[in-house]
Amino acid sequence: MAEIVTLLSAGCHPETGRLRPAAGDAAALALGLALRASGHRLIGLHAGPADDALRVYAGFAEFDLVRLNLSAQADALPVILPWLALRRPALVLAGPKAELGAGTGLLPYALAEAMGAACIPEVAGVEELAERVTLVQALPGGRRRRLAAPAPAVLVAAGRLAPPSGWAYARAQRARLETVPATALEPVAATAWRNEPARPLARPVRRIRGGAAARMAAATSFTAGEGQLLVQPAPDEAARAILAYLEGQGLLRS
Amino acid sequence: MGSGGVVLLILLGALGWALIGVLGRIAGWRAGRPAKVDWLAGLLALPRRYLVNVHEVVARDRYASTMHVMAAGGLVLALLLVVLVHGFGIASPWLAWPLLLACVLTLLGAERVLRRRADRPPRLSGGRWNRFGWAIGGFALGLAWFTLPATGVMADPGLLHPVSLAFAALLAWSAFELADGLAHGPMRHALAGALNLVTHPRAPRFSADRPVAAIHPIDLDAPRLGVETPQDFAWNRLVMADACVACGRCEEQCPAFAAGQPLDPKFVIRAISMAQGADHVDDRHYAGRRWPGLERRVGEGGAARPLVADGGLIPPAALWACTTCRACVEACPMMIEHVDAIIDLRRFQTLELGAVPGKAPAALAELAAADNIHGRAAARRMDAFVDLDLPLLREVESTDLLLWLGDGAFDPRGQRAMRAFVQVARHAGLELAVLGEEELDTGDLARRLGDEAQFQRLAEANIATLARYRFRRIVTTDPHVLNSLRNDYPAMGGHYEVVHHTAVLLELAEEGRLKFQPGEGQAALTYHDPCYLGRWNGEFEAPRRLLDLLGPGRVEMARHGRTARCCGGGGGAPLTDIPGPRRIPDMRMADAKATRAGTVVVACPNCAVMLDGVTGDYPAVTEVAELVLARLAVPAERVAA
Amino acid sequence: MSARPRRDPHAERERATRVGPSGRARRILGGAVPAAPVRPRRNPHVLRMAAVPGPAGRMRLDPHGGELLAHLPSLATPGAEQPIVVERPACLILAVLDLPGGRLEGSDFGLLAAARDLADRLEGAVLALTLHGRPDLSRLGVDRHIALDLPDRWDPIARLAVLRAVLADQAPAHVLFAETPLLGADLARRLAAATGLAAAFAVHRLEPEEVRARGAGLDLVGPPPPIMTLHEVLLADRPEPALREARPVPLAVEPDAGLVEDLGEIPVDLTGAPLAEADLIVSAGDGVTDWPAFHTLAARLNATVGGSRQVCDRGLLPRDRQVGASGTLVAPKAYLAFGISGAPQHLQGIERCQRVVAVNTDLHAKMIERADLAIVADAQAVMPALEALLERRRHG
Ligand SMILES: Cc1cc2nc3c(=O)[nH]c(=O)nc-3n(C[C@H](O)[C@H](O)[C@H](O)COP(=O)(O)OP(=O)(O)OC[C@H]3O[C@@H](n4cnc5c(N)ncnc54)[C@H](O)[C@@H]3O)c2cc1C
Ligand code: SF4
Ligand code: SF4
Repeated sequence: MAEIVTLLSAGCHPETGRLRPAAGDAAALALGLALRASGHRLIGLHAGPADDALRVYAGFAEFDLVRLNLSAQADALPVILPWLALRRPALVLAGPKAELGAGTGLLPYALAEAMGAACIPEVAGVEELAERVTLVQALPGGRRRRLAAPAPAVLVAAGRLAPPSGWAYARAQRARLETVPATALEPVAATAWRNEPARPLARPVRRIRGGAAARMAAATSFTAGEGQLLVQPAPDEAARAILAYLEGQGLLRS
Repeated sequence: MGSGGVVLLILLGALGWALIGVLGRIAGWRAGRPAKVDWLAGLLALPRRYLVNVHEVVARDRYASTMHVMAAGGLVLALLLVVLVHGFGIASPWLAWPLLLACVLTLLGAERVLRRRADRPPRLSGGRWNRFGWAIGGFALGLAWFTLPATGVMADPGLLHPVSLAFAALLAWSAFELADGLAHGPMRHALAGALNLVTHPRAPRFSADRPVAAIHPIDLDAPRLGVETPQDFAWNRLVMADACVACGRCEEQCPAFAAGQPLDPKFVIRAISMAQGADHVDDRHYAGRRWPGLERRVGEGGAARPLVADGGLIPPAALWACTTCRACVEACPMMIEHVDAIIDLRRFQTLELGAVPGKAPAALAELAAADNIHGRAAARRMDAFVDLDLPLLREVESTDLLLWLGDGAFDPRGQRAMRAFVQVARHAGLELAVLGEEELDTGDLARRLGDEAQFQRLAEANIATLARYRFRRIVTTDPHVLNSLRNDYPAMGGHYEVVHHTAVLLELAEEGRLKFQPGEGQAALTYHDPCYLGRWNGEFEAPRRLLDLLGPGRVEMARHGRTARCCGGGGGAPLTDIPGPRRIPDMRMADAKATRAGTVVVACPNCAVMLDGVTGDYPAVTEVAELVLARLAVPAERVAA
Repeated sequence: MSARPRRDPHAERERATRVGPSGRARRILGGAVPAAPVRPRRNPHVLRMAAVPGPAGRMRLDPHGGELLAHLPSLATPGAEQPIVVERPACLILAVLDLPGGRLEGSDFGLLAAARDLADRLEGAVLALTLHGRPDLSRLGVDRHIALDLPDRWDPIARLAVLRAVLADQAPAHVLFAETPLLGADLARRLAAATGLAAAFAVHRLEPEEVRARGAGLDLVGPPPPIMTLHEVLLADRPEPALREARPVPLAVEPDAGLVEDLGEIPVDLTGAPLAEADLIVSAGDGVTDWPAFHTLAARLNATVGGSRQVCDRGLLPRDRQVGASGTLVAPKAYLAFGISGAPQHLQGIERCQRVVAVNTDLHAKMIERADLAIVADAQAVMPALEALLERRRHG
């Protein structure tokens, strides 16, 4: 049976900033636990300075947990890669975005690139894992698509997936975590980016060129259909109006 | 040999049989976890507990109470006398006549038992309980026959006389039925019931006027948290389960059972009792009503097998449907603590398995990371009250009255009531202070959902915070907070005087600091008792007296006070959300509607949300403080905001 | 709708204003102000029915009763318009469009608007890349257009190959994507990982000197990198409708077969899907009595079933189907409400719906007010009619 590594990062509660299981990583863990139930071996991997970040995941199930000992600032990718190269897992599972730091969601892609593996986002389930992995991808609106890729592959869980059920305090307390020393590489060069407190999200003020008439036109034009009213139409007429409407939105699926 | 000798023989045989069975049962109890029991105090308190506490409950059912006095009293008397008459062979009419009378009394009692059995209400179990009346009657009759010669009314016909033989057979059957029942049948309630009164884990409930309904803490470092198998219960809780007489009074009061959710408190207790006596049993022979909606389900278990499981004796949904309203406990004549058992079972499910259903896991996860189940930052607890300028304890450092906001502060319905209370209190010149963002959830909900770890964490944090300040009393609008701080915190080292806002409002009104104007042409109102103020804390009177000061026209629902029906909002039930064909709040609003009152007055933010959420043509729902504010003899807008 | 008289503050202020001796206008406070004429309230539905076809053939709403459109030369006389041409751009801004399902969607418009804005400020040109079909982008602020027609499969590797070819060919200064899962967000990260180029994801402020990208609870601030995806707050906009040349640019690329094999969409019965995920919801309220018709319609549309609390409380739909404050907050593209009155708690639940269609017998129902397409009719008649229409449509 194959070995699966799921990447577990330190989660952060959006309002209080306190440690918790990261929602995306928990979704990935749910995929991993489903695979474990069909006999595969699951390892949870965390690169970071403290056990606490990993222990919160231990409450979900009893599985192997490994922490690569790394300072909080260090880049995780350079230490995860060699560790993975040694283990050669058939699948690497990850969450869509970290809840701390830059949270770009780039890591699984970079990982896949370095491993020469396929990276598949929005994964909602894994159906089969052997030479190839067959999986289900979540599309907008609850639709699903089936994909296949050669193993090893990097799968990114769909963010909206529910976390695994069954978090238990006693499991988290009693879990034994393995710590692997890791030497972090010095960051190559300080990037031009700086971190700042998040500013509120706001729609930009629209720059409209072309004088007052254009501005007026922009402010008052809507697509028709918004606010259409039919009073006591024949049922058929009403039906046609709705149908045309849905068709216009590309929502007819049959 | 005289025919009386056979009585001795039969009784000795039955006694031996009973002894074997009882020893087996005792071995079963001893397999439970250890418990600290004050035997001496328990034994000394036994008569009082039996004659006062038990009798108080039994007497609510007049018929059953008379029946029990006759059957049990007669039987006990007869057994005492039989030792003298037949054991020591003292054939004096001075003893024989009373023995005969005891037999007759027992017989009359047995007749009442059988009469009730003939038209058995569904809450009573059938099966072996149906034979119980016959066994008592048969025993009394047989005993009477063999006692007649000693009274001198007739000569001893000799054992070989056909009538004597028939009576001997009857006596033998009934004596063995009763003796066997002492370990495995209905008679067990006498033994376990008495022992339960002696070793009861909640001794305070018998002594004080107000029941101190704390939930026992557990050691979080123990190898197994909570209760999985019967043997994980403390041994006196196993005795307690064996005390059940299957009377179904708990079942009748249970709101979840009435809503058709798969919970029956009687079956929970009977399941524990059933499982502890055997290595492996199933519930096919169980003679009571079955889990609503799961009538065809067969559960299996045993003394060392999981109690709660999909195929276990107790279905998981039963555990999570409970609102912890304590109506069952209040109704139980055997002083059984159903809620404690349910919480113990939940603890294992939550802490060891993480098997909490519905939205509860998400709520507990938010609680872990934000200290409230809404996942809000601590500072936002004060959001709805900024304009009230409530002084923060952090700034004033001491206060007479500390207002504990509770998690209702995050909910618009709760906020309304809290604001009303603050306004009224200010109007009466009362100064309040709050903890503000230093206040955390009390952990009450976590504890009731079985998450003892979070309860202890939050309680320790809150107790540490409170230790920094000086205050005389804590007031809250939330009975769950009240109960937690008043009853659950002492075991964690926090001792406070906690009052409900209805009590404070009553104080103010009685001191004349609040003046009310009579509402014009007001419709009658009815008061809904919150379980955690009423049954859990014995406060039934203050809110009622307060309402009566507001004006006349208060009516009571059929179920009120100690038997009030829960709103469905307790114990985390709205989160675990176990489906049923009916909803508890709907039934409660139907209760209210039946009084023809125009308004239901509530005194708890949970009740307000639950009852307010019922749609349709029902009375309006008002919180006490809101009503008081509206009836102040000053225009409401002039009340200091 | 009632014509409740409404005060007109503008008219009032005007009347109360007198020109003083110095020639400055001054307001007279208090005093005898002539009674304000009562301006009747406008009925927005009547107004919307007065929509006129705009130049692009799309319906346009003109609350000024057609005056305004007549005064817009570019719109009024489309034939005479000359496209704007950027001959020698300082740089190229590449906008990679999503075109989900082969159609231009909101995020595409927003992306083009942002690209146009950036290009204008850098004196550059907008180069659009579309991978399916050949949509007309000439009124969407596009100067150059590379239109490819890749197979409909989801093949990120092929797309990446195209993108790399465009980068090699055109050397755009910035590549912009929408931060949309499986589309822009995916492709941008692939590009960043494959090329090692600097990238900023979920940019929510975009200036030529500095961009702000949303990280995990913080903002990453720096100069605009080569690759950027735009946060949805930047995607609500639309480019100005000025005509541009959208000059076709050829691209020679032989996309190689990727590692990932698309085995096709799995037919999923969406009627019982999680409400929070759904993009088409049919919802029933107390006004629905013909439940078989309702469920057949939902199945025919393969739409997710929802309901008001009223119907869930009565057990007509399971509790997890409840939409609203105490149920699920939904955000579908379209929400079809049959016989729902639109109680505040219900409307709270559909705040984030893009389009609402309501069928209700009551003209004054709050739901009718909220709806984009409001039909005052009996739900029991409309539901089967719609179902029959869909059935006929399916058979040709
Ligand atoms: C605390 C609280 C929370 C609540 N949360 C929610 C919530 O989350 N979600 C929710 O939905 N509600 C919620 N409610 C209930 C809410 O206030 C309304 O009662 C409920 O939404 C009304 O449901 P309805 O529109 O189906 O029914 P009604 O209000 O009875 O409306 C029925 C509508 O159907 C129309 N109608 C009748 N016959 C026909 C016909 N033949 N064809 C077409 N139309 C017809 C009528 O004109 C009417 O407008 C909550 C209430 C409370 C107190
Ligand atoms: S506490 Fe209430 S809900 Fe729970 S079993 Fe007892 S009566 Fe039923
Ligand atoms: S638990 Fe108590 S109330 Fe319930 S059936 Fe047993 S004895 Fe009766």
